Amino acid sequence: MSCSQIQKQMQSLLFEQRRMNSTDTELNDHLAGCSECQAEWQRLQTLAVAIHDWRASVPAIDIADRVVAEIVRHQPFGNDAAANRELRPLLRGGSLPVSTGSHAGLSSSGARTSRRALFAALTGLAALLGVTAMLDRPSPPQRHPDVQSVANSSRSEPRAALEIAQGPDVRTFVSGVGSAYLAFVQDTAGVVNSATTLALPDSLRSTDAASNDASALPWLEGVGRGWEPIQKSVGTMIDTFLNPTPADDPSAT
Amino acid sequence: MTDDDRDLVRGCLDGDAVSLRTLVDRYQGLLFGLCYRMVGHRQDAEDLVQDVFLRAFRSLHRWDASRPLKPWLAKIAVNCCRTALTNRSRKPVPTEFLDQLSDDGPQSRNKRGPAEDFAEDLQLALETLREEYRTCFVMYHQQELSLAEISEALGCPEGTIKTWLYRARRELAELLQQRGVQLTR
Repeated sequence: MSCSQIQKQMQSLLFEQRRMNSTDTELNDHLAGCSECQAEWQRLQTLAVAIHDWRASVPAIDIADRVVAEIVRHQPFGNDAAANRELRPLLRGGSLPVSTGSHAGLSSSGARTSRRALFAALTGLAALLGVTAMLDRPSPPQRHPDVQSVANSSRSEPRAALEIAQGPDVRTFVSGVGSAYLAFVQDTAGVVNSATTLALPDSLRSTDAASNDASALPWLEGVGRGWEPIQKSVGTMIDTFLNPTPADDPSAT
Repeated sequence: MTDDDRDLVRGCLDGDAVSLRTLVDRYQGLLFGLCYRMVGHRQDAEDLVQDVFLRAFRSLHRWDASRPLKPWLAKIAVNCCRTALTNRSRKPVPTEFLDQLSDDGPQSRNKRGPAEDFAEDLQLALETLREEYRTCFVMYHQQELSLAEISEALGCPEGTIKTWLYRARRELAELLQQRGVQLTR
């Protein structure tokens, strides 16, 4: 056996409580003739004694009360308030408060989130119903008298415009106006009151302020008074587009 | 792993106060011994034991009941000690630290017998070892965990643990010799 193997053998013998067997005879023979392994054997025996004393020198401890109090204080069972309450009798006098603030906060926050989700869903539904109703509603004949009058004539620019007005482009445009209005209302803290009635803060209804000048945006005239005024405003805007007056038509000058 | 441990854990998870108390009573000595030997300071070790139990109870629902509880707790303790030692290494070590290894204070150093001197010399030598060697050594010789349990706790093969133990003993034996510790009995 090599010195390395012998030294492993020594450790097994000293620290792993292995019984002497035939290989230990070989160990003894090796030690008798190897001074280096003899020195190692002495060192390991010293270590074995030191370990014995070292193991026994751990001070006694009883910190169970402190540990249990700390565990209860930190509510290790998370949201299981019942389980945490059960632990309170462990404390002497049971006087440590078991806070439920965080759980209450979570609950409250969850309810708020639910309400917001419901509000968002209702708003979306309202917008969808409103825009759909607006698109499916047949335009009253008097809404576009000039267009109707030219519609029977030979194909002209106004007739082509009418076809466009009845086609998907204008529907997309009107739908876009509706969506923009909704986004505008929500962004400015407006409140969706019902599926067909929208409200704006009073400050935004005013047309006095330059920023809210309704004349600059004609279709905004109906904002805050429901869908019907919006439809009228949009209709007027389309009429203006199809039949520009000389004042409106830059090419006329 | 005993069924008893499993029942205690189940009781703790159900909020049973007696189970919690029993579990703490059962393992506080083991965890304190481990922490005390790892960090070499009683007050720090007590704080660490508290931290270990707190972490353990927070994660108790994640404990795999098919595995023994003792190595699981020991692993948490070792991790806590590693963190504490890392934090300590960033701070200046107080000069009285070595004297605090004994609860009696520096005045009593000359009054102690050879047994206490041996224990103190070994503790000082232990603190110079590589962390893996020290952890293995403390788990095996202080806590009397089996090789399989140490392997489980440290996530290393048993062969590696044996090698670390072997090297730890050799280095400690040399360090004790350098410190002039002689076999007196």
